Amino acid sequence: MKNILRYLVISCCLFPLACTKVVEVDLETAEPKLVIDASIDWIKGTAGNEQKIKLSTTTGYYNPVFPAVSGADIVVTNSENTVFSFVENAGTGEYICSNFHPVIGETYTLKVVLHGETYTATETCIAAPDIENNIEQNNAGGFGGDEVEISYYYQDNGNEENYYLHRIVSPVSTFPDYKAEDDGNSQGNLMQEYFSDKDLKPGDMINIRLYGISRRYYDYFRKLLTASGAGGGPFQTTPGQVRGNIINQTHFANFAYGYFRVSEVDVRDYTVR
Amino acid sequence: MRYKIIYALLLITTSFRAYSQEKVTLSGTITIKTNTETISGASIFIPAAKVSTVTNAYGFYSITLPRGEYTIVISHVGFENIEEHIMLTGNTRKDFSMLEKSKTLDEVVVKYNNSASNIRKPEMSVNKLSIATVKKMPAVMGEVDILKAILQLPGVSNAQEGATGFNVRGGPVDGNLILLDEAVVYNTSHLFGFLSVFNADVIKDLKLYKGGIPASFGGRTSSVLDIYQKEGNNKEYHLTGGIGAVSSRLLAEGPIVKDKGSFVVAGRASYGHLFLKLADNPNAVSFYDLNAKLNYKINDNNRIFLSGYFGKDNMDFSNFFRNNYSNSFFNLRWNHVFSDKLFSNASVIYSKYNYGLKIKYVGIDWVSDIRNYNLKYNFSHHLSDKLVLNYGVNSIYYQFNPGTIKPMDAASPVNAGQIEKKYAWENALYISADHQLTDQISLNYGLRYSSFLRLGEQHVNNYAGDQAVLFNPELQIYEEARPVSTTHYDKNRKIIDFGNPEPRLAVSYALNDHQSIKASYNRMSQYIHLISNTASVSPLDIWAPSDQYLKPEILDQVALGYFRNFSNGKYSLEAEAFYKKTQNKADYIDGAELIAHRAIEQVLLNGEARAYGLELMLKKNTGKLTGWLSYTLSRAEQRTPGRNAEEPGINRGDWYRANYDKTHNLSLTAAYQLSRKWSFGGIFTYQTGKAATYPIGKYQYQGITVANYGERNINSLPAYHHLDLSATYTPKPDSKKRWKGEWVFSIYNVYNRSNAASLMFEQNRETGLSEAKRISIFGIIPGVTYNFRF
Repeated sequence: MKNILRYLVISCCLFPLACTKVVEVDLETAEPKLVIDASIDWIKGTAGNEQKIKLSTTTGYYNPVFPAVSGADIVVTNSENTVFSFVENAGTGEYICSNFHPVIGETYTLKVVLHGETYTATETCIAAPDIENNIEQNNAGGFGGDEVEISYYYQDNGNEENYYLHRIVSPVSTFPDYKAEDDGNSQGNLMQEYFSDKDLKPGDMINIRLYGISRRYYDYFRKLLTASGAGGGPFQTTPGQVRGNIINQTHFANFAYGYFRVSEVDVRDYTVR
Repeated sequence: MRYKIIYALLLITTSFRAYSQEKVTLSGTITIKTNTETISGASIFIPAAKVSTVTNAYGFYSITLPRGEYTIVISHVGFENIEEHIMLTGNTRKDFSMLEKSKTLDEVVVKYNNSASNIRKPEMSVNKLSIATVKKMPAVMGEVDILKAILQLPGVSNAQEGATGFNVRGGPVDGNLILLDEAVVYNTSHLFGFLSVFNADVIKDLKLYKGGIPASFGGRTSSVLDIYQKEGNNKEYHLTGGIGAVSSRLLAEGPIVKDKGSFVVAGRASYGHLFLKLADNPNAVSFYDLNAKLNYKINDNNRIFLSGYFGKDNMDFSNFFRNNYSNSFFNLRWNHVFSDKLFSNASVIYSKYNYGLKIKYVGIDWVSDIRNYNLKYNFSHHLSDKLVLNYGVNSIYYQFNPGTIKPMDAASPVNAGQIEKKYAWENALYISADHQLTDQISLNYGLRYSSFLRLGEQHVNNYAGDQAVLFNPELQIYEEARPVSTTHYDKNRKIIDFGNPEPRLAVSYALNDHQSIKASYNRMSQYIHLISNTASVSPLDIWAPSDQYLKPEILDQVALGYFRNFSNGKYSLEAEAFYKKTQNKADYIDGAELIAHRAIEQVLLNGEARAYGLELMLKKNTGKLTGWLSYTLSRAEQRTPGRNAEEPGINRGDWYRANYDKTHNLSLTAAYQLSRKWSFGGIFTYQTGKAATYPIGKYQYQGITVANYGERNINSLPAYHHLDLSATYTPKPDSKKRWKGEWVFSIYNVYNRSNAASLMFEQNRETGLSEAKRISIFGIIPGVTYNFRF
C-alpha cells in the first residue's frame, strides 16, 4: 500500500512534456547534530555475535563527506542486565562488539555517552520470516514492460501484526533500495515483493535482505524514505525532521538522529540470468 | 387616543394599498436572438424611473414600476442594446431577444461579459467570464480550458502546472464549490490536471464567487464556481466541433419542439497513445466525456431542464499500474413562475465521483467513491423595485466509500476487504435580500443555517481519553492510537450532528455614477473534506465527512473594495482587500499514510488557517484591444498547535505557509482584433514560486543519505512565469454558407521557461552524491486547433 504515491509520481512524470534537470540550489546548513546508526542485525544462520554501531554528524547538503564521531562509550544491555560493550575502531566512528547475544523477543537498551551527554534507546528484537527459495525472474517486467524484474516471496504470520523492511543491493545503484511494508491488507498470506530496474542485466548479483521490524521503526523508516527523496515528486508529502527512538537524557532538546533497532534478517543472493 | 391609532393604522394600510395598487410588474425572459440561449446577468434599466435589475441564471427578470409610459433599455456586453417604448397599464409579461454585436471594424467588441464594473450592486469579489473570452485565450496545445482561464483572475492560483484544482484567496482546493448546472463536481481534472472536465463548447457562462458569497450557496469555505451549460438552439439544428492536438470534440444542438424545447449533446475524447513517446508501447493515457442537456418550455410559467454529464479518465500501464477515475451527474430542474414576482426553481441532482487503482507491485485493486443525492428548492421573490428576496432549502444525502479492496489476481497477497462506508445528511435553509436602501446604498444580506448529520450504519472507534492521535513525549513524535472499543450504530441512526448559522452581508456605497466602495462579510461551513497530505492535490485524495474528530471547517471572511469605471466604461478598476480565517483546519501528523487508511482520525490534528491579501484588476473593456491586468499580493498560512503545553503540534505550533502560498501573482491577459479574419490573444503570468521546504543538511543512515529538513514551507521555489500567444484565423468571416470554420494557432510558454513544479532532493544512483532535481511540466508547446460550426 505504502508506495502507491511513488508509482503515481512515476506515471505523472511520464508526461512527455515533463522533464527533470539537476539544478544547483542555495541551501543553508544547520549546526551539526549527532547521528546514531545502531542497527543490530541478526542474520539467520549466524550467532549474531558481531555487531557494529556507527556515529557521525549531520553535514551540509552538498558536502560529500559525513564526519565520523569518535570517543564515545557505547554499551547495549539486555533485560537480565548483561552488558555488551562496543569498542571503537579508533578514529573511524565505527564501534564494534564481538560477543553480542541476540534473542527474539528480548528487549535491549542502548546507552551512548559522548562529551558528557548520555543518549539512550530501547528496542525489542523482532523475528523475520524466511525468503522462499523460489525467486522468480521476468524479463518483460517493470514499468514499461521491458525491464528485468525479480520477485520473491515470504510467509506472513497471521497471528500478529507484522512490519517488514526490505533492502536490496544491486549494481544499478551505489546505495541500497529500501521498502517498508506492513501486513494490514494481507494478514497471514504469502507475501510477494518485486524489484526491477531498466539497467539490470544478466550476471548482475542482487542481494536481498528481509528484516522483521517494530511498528515504530516502520513509521520511522517511511518518514526517512520520504526525506531521502525516495518518495519525491509533485505529490510528495511535506518532509520534516525525522526523529528516531534515541533520547538525550542529559540535555533533552539536543536529541540525536538515527535509530536503535534489533532485527532478525534473512539474506538471499540472486544472480540475474 | 384609540381613534388616533386606528386612524394611523388606516392611513398606513390605505397608503400601503395605494402604493401597491399604483405599481405594476414587468417580467419575462431575455434570450440571444441567434441561438435562443437565455442570458443571465443582462441588465434592464428604466431611466425615467431610475430603476434597474438583472436577469437571473435562467434569464428571468422582474421589475416593479408605477403605471405609466416608459422607455426600457436592455443591455448586455457584447450585444446590441434594445430600447423599447412600453406602456405599462397592468402587470406585463414581455420577453426580449438580443442581437450579438457584429464584428465590424469600427466597433470590434470581444465579448467580455465582465466588462465595466458594476458600480451600484453590492456584489463584490465576483468574476464572470464569458465563454467567448475564454476561447480567445491561448491554451496549452490549443486545448481551451475554463479552469486555466480563471487562473488569470486576481486571487486565483494553482499549486503548479498540471496540478488538479485551483486555490482561491489562499483557500484549499477542496474549499471550492464547483457546480455544473447546479451539480457538484468533485474532481475537475482530466489527465491529472492537464485539462479540466469542462468542455468549453457546451458551457454558456461561469461566475466565480471569491467572497461576499450569497446565502444560497454553502458547504465549502473558499469559493463558488457556478457554471451553466448551454440550453441548445430551439429553432435550428447545428453542429459545432473542433479537432485539436490532444482531443477532438463535437456538439449537436437543435429543437425538440420548435420554440419550445431544445437539446444539446456534446462529447470529447482524447487520442489514447498521444501521451507516450513510444508509439509501440501498450501503455495508454486517455479520457472522454459526454455532456447532455434537454429543456422544454411547457408554457410561459413552466420550464423543465434535464442535464447530465459523464467523464472518465483511464491510465493503463499494462502490467504495472492501472488507474481510472470518473465524474458523473444527472440533474432534473423545474422552473416555475408562480407570479410575475415569484420565480422558483426546483432541482433533483445525483452526482458521483469514483476512483479506481490497480497496482501490480502491491497486488491491490482498490476502488473508492463518493455519491450524493441533492434536492434544492429556490425562490426569487421580487417584492418591490427595491427589495428582492431569495430563499430556499437544500438537502444532500451522501454516501462515502473510502475503499473496496480486492486482490488483483490469484497470486496477490492482498485480502479482500471493505473499509467501512460512511453516511451523512447535509441540510440548509437560507434567505437573503437584495435591498436598495437609498440611491447610494445597496445591500445584500442573508442568513444560511446549515446542519450536518452523520448517520449509521457504522462502527465508530472509541479511543482512550478520546485521543485518536497519541503524543510520545520522550521521542517527541505523534503516533496513531489504537481504538479501545467500537460502538455500532444501526442504519440511519444518528452518530453526531453539527449545525451552524452562516450570516452573509455585502454593502455597496456609490460615490457617484462611476465609483463605489463595497464591503462584505461571509461565514461558511464545510462538512466534507478532501484528505490529502501531499504538496499538491492528486486524484488519489479521497473525500471524508466531518465527525467527532474531523470537525467542520468554519470560515469568516471580510473584504473591502473600491470599484471605478473610467472613460464611460472603457476602462475599469477593481481593488479589493480580504482577510479570512478558518477554524478546524486539519493537518496530518508526519509520515501519515492516507491512502486506504481505515481510521483517518488517527493521523489528524486540528488546527486553523488564515489568509489575507490585496487584489487589483484593471480592465480595458472596449475597443480593438481588450483585456485585463490582475495582481494579487497575499499570504496563506496554517497553524496546528499542540493540544496541551507538552505537545509541540506541527512546526512547533507556529504559523507556516500553505503549500500553495504564492506572495505575488501577476497576470496580463489581452485580446486584439486585427481584422475580421485575424484576432490575437496573449497571456503573461508571473508568480512567486510556491512554498517549499529545503534541506538544512543531511546525514547517513544504513547506507542511504537522508536530507534533514528545516521549518516547514519556509522556502519558495524559483519564480514561475511564462508567456502564451494565440492567433485565430477565420478564413471567410462573411461567408453565407452554413459551414463556418476557424483555425486557432497557439504557443504556450513562448520563451520556453522551465518552471519548477517541484524540487526533489535525492541521491544520485550512479554517484551516490546528493543533488537537487527540478521537475518542470511544460516547456514551449505549439498547438493548432480547427473549430467548425455547421
